Amino acid sequence: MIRQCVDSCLAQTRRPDEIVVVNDASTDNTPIILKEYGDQILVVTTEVATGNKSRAQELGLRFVTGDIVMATDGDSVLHPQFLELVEKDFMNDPELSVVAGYVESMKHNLLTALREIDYTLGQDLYKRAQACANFVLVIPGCAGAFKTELFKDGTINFEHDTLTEDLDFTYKLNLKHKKIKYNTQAIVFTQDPPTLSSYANQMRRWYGGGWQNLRKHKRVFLEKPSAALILSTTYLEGLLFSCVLFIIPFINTILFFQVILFYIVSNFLVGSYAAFRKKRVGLLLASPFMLIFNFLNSYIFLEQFVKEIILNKKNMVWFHPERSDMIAPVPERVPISQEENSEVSSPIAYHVTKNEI
Amino acid sequence: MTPLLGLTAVFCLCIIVVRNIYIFFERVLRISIPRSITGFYSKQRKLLSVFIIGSVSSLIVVSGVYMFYLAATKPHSNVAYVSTLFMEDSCTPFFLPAADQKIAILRLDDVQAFSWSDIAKQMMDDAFTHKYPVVAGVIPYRIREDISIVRYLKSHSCHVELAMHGYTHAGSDYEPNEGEFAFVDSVEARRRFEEGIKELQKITTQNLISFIPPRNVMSDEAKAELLPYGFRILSMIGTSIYDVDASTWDFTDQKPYRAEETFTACEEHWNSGDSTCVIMLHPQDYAKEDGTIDADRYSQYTSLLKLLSENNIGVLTFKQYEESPWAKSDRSHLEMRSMLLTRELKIGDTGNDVRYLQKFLNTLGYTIRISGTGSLGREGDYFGEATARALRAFQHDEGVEETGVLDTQTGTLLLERLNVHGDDLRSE
Repeated sequence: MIRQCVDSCLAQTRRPDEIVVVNDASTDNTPIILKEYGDQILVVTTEVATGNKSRAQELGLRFVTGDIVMATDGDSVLHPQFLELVEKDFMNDPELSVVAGYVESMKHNLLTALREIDYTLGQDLYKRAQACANFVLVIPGCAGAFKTELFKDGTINFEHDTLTEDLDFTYKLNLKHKKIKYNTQAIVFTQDPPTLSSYANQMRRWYGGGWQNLRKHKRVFLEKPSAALILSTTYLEGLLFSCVLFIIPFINTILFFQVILFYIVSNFLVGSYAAFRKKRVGLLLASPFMLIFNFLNSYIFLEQFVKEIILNKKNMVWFHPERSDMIAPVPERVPISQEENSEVSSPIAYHVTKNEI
Repeated sequence: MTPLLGLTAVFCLCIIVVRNIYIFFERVLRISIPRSITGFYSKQRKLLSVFIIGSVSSLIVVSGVYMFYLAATKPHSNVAYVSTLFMEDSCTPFFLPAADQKIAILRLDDVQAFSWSDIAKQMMDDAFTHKYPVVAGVIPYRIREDISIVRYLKSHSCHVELAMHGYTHAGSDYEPNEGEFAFVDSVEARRRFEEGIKELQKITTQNLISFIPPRNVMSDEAKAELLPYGFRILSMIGTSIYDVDASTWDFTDQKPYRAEETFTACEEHWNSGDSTCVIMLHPQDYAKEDGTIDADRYSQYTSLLKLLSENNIGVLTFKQYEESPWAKSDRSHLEMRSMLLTRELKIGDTGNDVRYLQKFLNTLGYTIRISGTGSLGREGDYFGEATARALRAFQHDEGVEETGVLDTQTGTLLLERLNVHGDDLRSE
């Protein structure tokens, strides 16, 4: 998988000026594959595994010398025009601090198809609204491009006390009222968990991290009204939905079945939209199974709510998703619109260092 | 019905729409509207945030409360009960006895929700293995809460006749052990019949024609309401065909009779000329203190079944007997006949049968009086001019001689009309 990732970085239409790969003491054949790239990439290897993406990322950032850094995961594949689109955004708006990309799931099995439906709904509707309201909730850890000065001048520092450091980071950016742009065409393809247990683990991390960060950054509610709106609707409705799903069947089974029917229908509608949008019929066929997802997600949502908020436990184990050889799709070329006030300037110069530690 | 569970989605759509309107204003109309509210003072932002959080929370809380309120108050059946609605009554009745066979009727009283229902089911199962149908005296009150017994009765509908065993089987608050219908008046009796029939109709498609009064006792006023409600068969101690001929419980020794003792009681009955022996059974007779089955005592029941079987005794239900060849000719409606037609009735007569006559005439619409004694629900026991007038009107409609006197012919017609009326009442 790392090969596909690095290849996609090298195949960008706007060539990156440097590529830094953090090898977190991996025990498989990753180091051998990385060696094949020679001096096209800079490899930073840790002596002892940190086991924590946040720390690995922090280490890698020390070696970044460019103005804009794009961070991604080793099992993700970039759309070839990603950097080109991102650069355009930064050029058009000097005040922009971050560009959040669009995540798509690689085709694998039913589970990833359901995840793709989830992504489609979440990103086409919820995230767009967040961007409109000027409060993007999370910049995906595999699809974010940042101005490096954010890290260098101490504006933002890395903390490793939550399960989802990308969410933590985004909250901090929002608290400081940094500008975030959401670009739906800057696509990154990710590997999503292929088995139920790895899926559940990932959801535990995401929801657990969500609640942890909510508690950690509760100041943002008062700081940004748009945050108040987005966060309160998302989390409160999530709680209500989960409670309804699990408590109603014990109170009135007939009503429960009517609710289920309603969700099957709405899942089908969402599935059709996703199938149309992503041009994958498989998504439509998968939509009846979304109901299982609803239940599973709601259960984990409640479980983590109880763990993090009510019981106040802090859970910091990073779950390693199973990696497999998924094939990244062949992306379409995206036409780039010419903005009125765009300037075409010369690429920013970097220099590449090659020392291995 | 599921209000506001798409709350966030709707909000997001609104936000997107509003934002696009902004853009429209800015681009097309070139009007500048302040977009970002970071320009507001910190205090104003805080207030706005608090307001937003407050409104969203109340919205969520209200929808949550509403959802749970809906759940608690909407028609409340749980799945198990709903599934019984789709159970087919499979129906191949056991073969009917020959004409010269002696008949027994197994009347299992106190079939109700939860209490001893496992024993009741066991007793019915054992009867079925001998190919014997059973009359189940069901207490309708809250029967549907016990899905298990409802399921059982439904799936064995062909071999179990449901008879109404009172409505609650409870006496008054002062005398909880007295018969439920011992002292009730017409109005109360009708109310209980209606409620009981309503409950039973929800668990069976059988036509309910048999009534077993709790503690085998019933006021005359209540008895008078039976026919109008479609109950043709009254089974209690003292009635002629369907009275209790043999009991399985020895009150003196407070334990079940031995099977032989019960069988002997039936034999005496058959020998005295009556071909049907109604055996009264209760599931609690075979229960231990803790409600579980007492195998020792229960063996008396299984032995009784064996005895019946060995002696080639046929077993029927009330309904089957009523509709069988021997019964039809001279015994049909004998019960009701015995209430009404023991003698000819004319002006000047008094008695309970006069009361029944007035009740039946009022029920069929031949009003004796609008109000006061003799009106519907307030029948009296004196046969006066008003009663004669009503009776003549009935005889006119029936096409018989308007004598104003209740003779056998008129009485029979009256009972038949009441049967039809009862069926009509039931199907409403």
